[in-house]
Amino acid sequence: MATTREKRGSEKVMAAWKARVLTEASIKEIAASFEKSPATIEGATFFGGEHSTGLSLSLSYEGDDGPWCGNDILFWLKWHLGHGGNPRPPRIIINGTPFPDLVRMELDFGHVAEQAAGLQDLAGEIGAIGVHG
Amino acid sequence: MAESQTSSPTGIAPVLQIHPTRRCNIACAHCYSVSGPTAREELPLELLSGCLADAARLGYRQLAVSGGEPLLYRPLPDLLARARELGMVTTITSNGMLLTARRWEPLAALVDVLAISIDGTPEEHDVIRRCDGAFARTTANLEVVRSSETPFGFIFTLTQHNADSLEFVIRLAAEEGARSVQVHPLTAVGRAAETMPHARPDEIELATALCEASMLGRELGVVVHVDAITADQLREHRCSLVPRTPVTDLAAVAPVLIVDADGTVIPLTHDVSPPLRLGSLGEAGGLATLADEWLAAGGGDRLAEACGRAWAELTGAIVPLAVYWYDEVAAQTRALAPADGVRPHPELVTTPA
Repeated sequence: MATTREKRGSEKVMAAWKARVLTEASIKEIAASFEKSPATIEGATFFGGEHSTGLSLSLSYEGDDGPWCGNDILFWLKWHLGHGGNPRPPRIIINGTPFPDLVRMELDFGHVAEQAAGLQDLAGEIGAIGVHG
Repeated sequence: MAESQTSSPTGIAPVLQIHPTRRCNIACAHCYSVSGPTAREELPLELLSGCLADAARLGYRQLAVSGGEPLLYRPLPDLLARARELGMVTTITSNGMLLTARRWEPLAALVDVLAISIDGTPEEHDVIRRCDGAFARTTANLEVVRSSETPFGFIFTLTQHNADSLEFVIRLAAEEGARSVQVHPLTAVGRAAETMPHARPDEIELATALCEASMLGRELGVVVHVDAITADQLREHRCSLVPRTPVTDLAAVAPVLIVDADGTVIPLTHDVSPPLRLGSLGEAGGLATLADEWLAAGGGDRLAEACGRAWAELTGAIVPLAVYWYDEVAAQTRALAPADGVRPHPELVTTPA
């Protein structure tokens, strides 16, 4: 059996990508949490195509439900502690101070970075040798 | 403007790559020039000054100084200043371990881009550099370069086993303020041929590196350049990759020209067959004469023929995902003629006190 050192770099890249794929269980965990939340899910975007690696949720809260926003951020933090990923900080918009009428929040789960380009999409100059010679 | 200034295979100015010394503070496992602490070969500044002037006249617009460790070449500031006087862009490639403020300050204003070798995670880097603590020493010196405001980038040597480390290096570049990462495939030349004989990356590893570079570069805002081309690029850019014959312009067929620490002048890459080398700088007349004689003897045409063969083979029945073009051309040059090396001029190589 090949040791880690003898493995191809591409095999390790592939293994890392597979480890990032969202499992059914992890998605169910997210769904269960937001069923309890009063947040309205305005939109959900999966990243990574067939084998999704990340999910971005766009949420809104009525003014009275604003404190729930903090509970959902706590769940988001715990989820990443359990599942890993490169979490981007939540984006939060509060409409109305000091008493919010509406709170909008976007939460990312997992890896939501742009997917790798296919070789056919690689543009630009011919990469025979770089600037450093 | 000469054709060679605009139509090199990379779209960049033709590069004169000088290895002025084989002295180095470390002896890396993958070193193609077999440099190290005990190596003493060094080229005199006067010889290289003449070479620079000739190269500028021949259309070379960039001086890339490598080694050995360039910071151990004492006349380096004078060499860089001479290149600047000739209107050349200057770059140096360093392992970064000796980049102290004392060493860097006299050079900072003379260098357009500094390339620092980073070959993976700290553990991986130290293994390939065969020096414990090498990574820590290099990264500790980055602040010296940053404070000088000289643009700097990282060079990562891609092997068969380390495409997964590219992410670490690109993230490090983003965190440390490096503008670019150049991914250079390992070639089985010099010490690498002995210590890492099976580590040359194949087409799958090159293609993986291209994909990782594209994705991570965009995500992290770092320019990542892989010295490899895809099958589609090969097909589309034949006119840039295969020079027209008869070749009358050195820079058109050799957009990268290497001067080794023993004075040998080599077109494209170290692995080009010895009979296709231009000769030694110590021979009468210097680089200009070497270039004239080489072209007159058909060296340019034979190199162009090797490019044509490489292109035809790579775009034939079995098309690879990606290739390191110069490696492929070098393989064709070895098929063209039997190995019969050019010997460096005996008076050329000096040993500093």
